[in-house]
Amino acid sequence: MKLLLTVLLLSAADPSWKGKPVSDWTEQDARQILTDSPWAKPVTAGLTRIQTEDERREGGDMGQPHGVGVDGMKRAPGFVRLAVRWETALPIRLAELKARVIEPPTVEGEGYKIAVYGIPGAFLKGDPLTLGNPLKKLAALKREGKKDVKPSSAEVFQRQDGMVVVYLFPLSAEISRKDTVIDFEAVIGRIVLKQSFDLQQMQFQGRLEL
Amino acid sequence: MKPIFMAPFARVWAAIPFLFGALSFGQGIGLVGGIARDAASGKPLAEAQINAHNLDKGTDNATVTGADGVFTFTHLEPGSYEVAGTKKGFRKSSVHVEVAAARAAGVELPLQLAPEGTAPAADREAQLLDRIERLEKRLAAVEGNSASAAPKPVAEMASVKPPAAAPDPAPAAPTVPMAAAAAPAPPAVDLQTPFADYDWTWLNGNSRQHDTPLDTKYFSPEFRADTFYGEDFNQPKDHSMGGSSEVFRNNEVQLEDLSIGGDFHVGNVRGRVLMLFGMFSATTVRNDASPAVGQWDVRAAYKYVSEAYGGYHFNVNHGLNVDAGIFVSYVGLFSYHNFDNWAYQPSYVSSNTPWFFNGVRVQWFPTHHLKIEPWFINGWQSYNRFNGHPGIGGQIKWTPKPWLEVLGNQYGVGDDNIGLPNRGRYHTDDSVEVKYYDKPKEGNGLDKMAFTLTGDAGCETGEGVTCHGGHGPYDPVTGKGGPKQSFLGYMAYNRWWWHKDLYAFTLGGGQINNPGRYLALVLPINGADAISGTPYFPSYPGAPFKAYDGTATFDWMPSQFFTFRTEFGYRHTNVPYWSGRGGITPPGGNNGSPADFVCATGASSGQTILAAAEAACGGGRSSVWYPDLREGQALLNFAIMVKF
Repeated sequence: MKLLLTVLLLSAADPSWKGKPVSDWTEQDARQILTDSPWAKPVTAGLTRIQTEDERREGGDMGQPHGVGVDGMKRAPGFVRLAVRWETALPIRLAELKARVIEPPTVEGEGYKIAVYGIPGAFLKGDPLTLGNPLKKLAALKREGKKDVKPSSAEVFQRQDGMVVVYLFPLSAEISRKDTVIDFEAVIGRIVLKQSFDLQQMQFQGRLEL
Repeated sequence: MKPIFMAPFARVWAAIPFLFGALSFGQGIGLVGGIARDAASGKPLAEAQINAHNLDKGTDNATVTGADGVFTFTHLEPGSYEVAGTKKGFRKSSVHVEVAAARAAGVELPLQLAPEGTAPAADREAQLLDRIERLEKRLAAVEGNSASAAPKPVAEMASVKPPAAAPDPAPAAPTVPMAAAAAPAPPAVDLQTPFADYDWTWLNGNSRQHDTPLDTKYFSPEFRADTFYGEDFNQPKDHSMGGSSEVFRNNEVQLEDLSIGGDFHVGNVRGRVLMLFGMFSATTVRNDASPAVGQWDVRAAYKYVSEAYGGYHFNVNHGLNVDAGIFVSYVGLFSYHNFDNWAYQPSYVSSNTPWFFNGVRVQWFPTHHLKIEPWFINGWQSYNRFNGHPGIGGQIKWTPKPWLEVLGNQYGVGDDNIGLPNRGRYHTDDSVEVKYYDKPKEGNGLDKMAFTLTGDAGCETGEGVTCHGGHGPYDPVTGKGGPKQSFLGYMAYNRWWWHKDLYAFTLGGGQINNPGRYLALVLPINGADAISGTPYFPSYPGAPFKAYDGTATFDWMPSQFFTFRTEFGYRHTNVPYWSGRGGITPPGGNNGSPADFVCATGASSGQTILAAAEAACGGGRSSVWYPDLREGQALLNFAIMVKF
């Protein structure tokens, strides 16, 4: 009985991506993988302060900045709730299937794709690449003792519930489990975002999935 | 929905060979270009979503058509593709394309208008079902593989790359309630924009506003109104006060500063104009003697302008600007506009040093904490150049900590005296601002305290004066020697804020020693200004001038755009300088000859030397009129200041 209880508790404690075959995933399991799992994290990101025109001018600039992460955020408090997801990780793609989630942010090219969801939007018009271009140099994957990896592209997709920024990091980064922890850092307009991912935990069916 | 090869898309096909050549693609990729059109009108469709689905591998590439309806995929692996176009209000259109390595294919996607309310949903459903079907196939394949595959050794798995491309279905944004479980956000700091990392609105000389309500995409307007009422305890009967560049009339309500303008900004091109009205438009220009050099009415040209420049912003380091025109000077720490300052009447090292420069400046921000700003200007607060040399100077501003600003202004090279081409001027003005207490209170207590300390030193040398003295009397043959002509001064202010910045109190003051009086403001006796000078307060080598002052300032700030200020100050000089009860206006008013002594009748003596004036006025000291000048001035003032 005691053994049975232990097994039940252990199995109850095991997250779906570890304890269940994919075919047994429920929609709820999939939702959890998409929102809070080794590949997807909810993040509360801080917002930089809005400068006045005098401050902008004193800093050598003029006019308020516009664009993704700025427009439509004037009334935001000092933070914004977002989600960061490794779109190319297999469990994420499987969970998307299970959860019947559609309209993926698609980025041309191969690489590690990391998406940031929930950016308050002002319904910006324009080509996703053009909108994302200024954000490209303000994001990086960071590992201890290795050079920062910059995305090769960034695209912005407008959705009804906000905007999504998808970064494409080159495969040449060769992220491995030995890196232990990898930090994703990005500045999106006023949003300053940092999220660590535990590479030891990002295993799926015996493989590191990114 | 027809695949076309070598179709008549002049622009697309013209671009394809170029793209292949210019981008130096490897031999393993192909290119698809095309155009999406409204099937009914044949017009190109902008912003249509185009998806190229690899039928062999199940991967997708997406893009959007440009304004001309044209799209291109430049990195497609060879294989069979379904290229589909979708746009709101149109039915999906797709075409099958074979992509070969180093080859270009062209497609045309005619999109049919969808019947309102039906087709998009149907298309969307079909698209979703299609995606789900494809993913289910992949899932089945994955599960089959994982069931049969033995775990791989760690070394083999150490470096993992994602699949060649992501399969379809899409991520959805997590719901806010789930995301809300995240930990609180750390304070976000902008480390790119200069001086954007912390709140610097506490600084003296900076606007305290947190919002720019009138800002637009290309123009950020600015409006300032500063109205003053002063009660000079000397009670000059002509209501005229001298010795200040901030307060001018006694016992009257006066509009000191009405400024209207703003910043224009289009991309990297920038410009600022601030038109100036009110007392400042008359009292600032009169302190500049350079309009006496040469022709053209330069005072008239510039009197209604306090700032006017255009420039360009270069994206170098943290920013690099080149601006040309008239810009404000922060020599002496305080802003030209009293709304920005902790006190209404700043001490001498601010009030007697430049408020503007005319020339070219470069602002370079090597880090977000540092500004290096060299100037190439006409002279020391001058519209024109006095002699042969330009003024060269610059500012360095450093904000290493959120509670500390270090600021230095340096000036040299200029020859800033009319008719004295070999008398050079040098000046250093250095300040530190420290916020030593910052604890926002829920209640009404003290929430902030800060102080500023400014030190100035300068001198003139050549043509009868020296920086240090001690070289004997002036020798016209060698051009050496002469009395010391220098400026040494300091000012210090401390400010307390309480009741969540609703109130503030500032205590401060300073002291100067300016032998030769070259930075002492010319008193407006009989309408005198910097060009005319006045015989009643002459500047000459060795003329003594020592002064000190102090102010106590109380601010009520019910809005970030409004300040009610009351201030009591006392100023003292070692020579008679401040308007007394008798005033500084001759009997009958100004006679038009401010450079001459005035007779007791109010008429001009026509003489700049007292003995000659006495003779001209009828003889004896009593025949000459004298302004009533005192060594001290106590002033209580009130001001209402608005800035948007």
